[in-house]
Amino acid sequence: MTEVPFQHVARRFAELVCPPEVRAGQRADRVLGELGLMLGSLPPVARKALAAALVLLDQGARLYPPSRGRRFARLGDEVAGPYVRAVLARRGPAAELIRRLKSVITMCYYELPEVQREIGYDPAPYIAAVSRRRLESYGPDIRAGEAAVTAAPGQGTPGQGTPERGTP
Amino acid sequence: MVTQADVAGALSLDCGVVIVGSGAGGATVAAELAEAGVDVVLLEEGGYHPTESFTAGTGRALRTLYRDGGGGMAIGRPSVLYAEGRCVGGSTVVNGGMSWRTPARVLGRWAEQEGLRAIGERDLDPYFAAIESRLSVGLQDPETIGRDSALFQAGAQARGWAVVPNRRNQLHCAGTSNCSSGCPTGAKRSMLVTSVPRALARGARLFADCRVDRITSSGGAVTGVTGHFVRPGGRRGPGLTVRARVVVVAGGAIQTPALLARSGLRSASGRLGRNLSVHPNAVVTAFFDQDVTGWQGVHQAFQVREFLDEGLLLTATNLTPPMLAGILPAYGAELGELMADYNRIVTAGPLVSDTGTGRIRSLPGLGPQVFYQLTDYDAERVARGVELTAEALFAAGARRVLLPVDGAPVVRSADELRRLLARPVPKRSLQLFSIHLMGTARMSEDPRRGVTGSFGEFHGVPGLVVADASLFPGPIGINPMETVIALAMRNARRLVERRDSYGL
Repeated sequence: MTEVPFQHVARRFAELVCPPEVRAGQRADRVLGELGLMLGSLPPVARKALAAALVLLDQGARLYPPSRGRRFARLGDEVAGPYVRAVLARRGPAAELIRRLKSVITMCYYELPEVQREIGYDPAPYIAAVSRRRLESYGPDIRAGEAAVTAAPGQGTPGQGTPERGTP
Repeated sequence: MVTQADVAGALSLDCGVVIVGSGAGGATVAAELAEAGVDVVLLEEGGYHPTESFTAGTGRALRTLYRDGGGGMAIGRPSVLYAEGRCVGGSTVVNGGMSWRTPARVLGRWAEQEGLRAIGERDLDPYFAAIESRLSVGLQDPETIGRDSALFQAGAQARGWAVVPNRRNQLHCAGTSNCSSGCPTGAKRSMLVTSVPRALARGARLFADCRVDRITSSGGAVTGVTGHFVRPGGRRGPGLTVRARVVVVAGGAIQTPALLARSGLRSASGRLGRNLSVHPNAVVTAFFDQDVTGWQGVHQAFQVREFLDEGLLLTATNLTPPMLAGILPAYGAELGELMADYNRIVTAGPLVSDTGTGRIRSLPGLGPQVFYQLTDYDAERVARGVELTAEALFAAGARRVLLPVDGAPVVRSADELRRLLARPVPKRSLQLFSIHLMGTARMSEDPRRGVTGSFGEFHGVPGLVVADASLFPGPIGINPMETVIALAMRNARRLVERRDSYGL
């Protein structure tokens, strides 16, 4: 896992752009954990860009009059909330970068299994059930098709006749 | 198969043909050549992830199966997000499996404009038939059609539009809706479970986690490739040298021109890395009163083809919660409220056959970067596609829709939609993405117009062949996988016919 740069800024941003339940339990920590994993898969240039977005977000708050010169990470919700709203509504490359950061962080929040269950998304049992149904309904055809992949040329025709199968 | 975990020191190999990339093009060429007895080495930058490892975890999939976590961005106004597969099997592991033959009018245009040989419908039909048999291309079993697809179909049919069931490379697809995270049953007949094992069974050697740095050449002809294994975390591992008589490049429309360019291989046409088409897509999010549970059922069961002559294809595709949350124009409590209705949402949108082009440029320290400018004409068609999609969703009973346009209000009726979109939509406000990247090493018999010839051979460099969607002279307006495979199969067989001239 890649360490999330400017963790305190990232955490504060997550508290504001994710639904309020992000503050429950250890969710914010786990969002940062997901973010670290995500950052690890990005190329260095993208990691640097997202780090730059956090710096811009944090230091840019000093120019936001209601902040009275304070950094974003030190703002209370009553000032930080309107600041984030203003930043996300702006145009230009810096705002685009911060919107991209918002997308990544909200993706990380909705990656948490308990959050997915709360909105009714629990695919594992469904996948297990339809996978079983597939094997029960079409087992011999499936096994023949899979065996044909490595069969000698001219022997076995995986999926022969499938164009006529299913919903017309 | 060899992965980075198997390698302690530098490797040096000899073979007849080295293939860079194990996706639709590369794996097909590998299987065809290995079947003909050619000594093949297949190199894949991504890792080997078997079917049993695939779950519904979006983050895990993005990290392991996609290049750069699936977060590529073509720079322009607007920018276009794109995703490329990077794993054994390439993008076929994470695509929706749509398998359509190249439209005859597209083949006709390519033949006429670029003087391409043996590329008519009759020429390619035998390849399409072989592919469709080998990859089990067919229609879905009826029990796998999800409610999101059924609603979108009903809405389009209520408008009187032509809707077709999707043809997909699947062996009794279970309808897990997990295509973009890897098929957990192996029903999707991606290269991972078809052409790659077929090639290996016939003696091809596969090296995963292996990034190719350069194509080597001598006296104007290619001699092989050099590269290195990639350790976990992206650390550089041992080096690899492959000496070969033929090099086949199949890294996709971004990586292929980038590799050719950093190898010092130039096209006299000046078109290498240019002519990029992206089939811009946009997502309309519709909310219904009833449960839809769009994640239960096959990915994209139908396509609306009513507007194909305008270069528009409409379809419904479920997005996982992380993907949807990432594109919704909301945050905080508002995002939570929208996502609470996740099971009542249908996501659908247009794919546009684009007229604009982009280019790939390798920038120092940044690697390949994509630049793409949406034309005004294409922007108008994106907006029209969005309007048509939303109309179908309202006809199906949607109560409100969110449009992929920055700052657009929630739309609550078809009338409101028409009023809103009667005004021009600022091009830069469109939210676009792409999964079809094409055209950066286009075929043309005229070396002044194209990078490659009719059979994928790089003009002016003996022994160098391209085998991916880079070859397309232009956008095809439908899902490109079957076209890539057909061209790869045809070009591989051509290589076999001429094997003596290559010393294979």
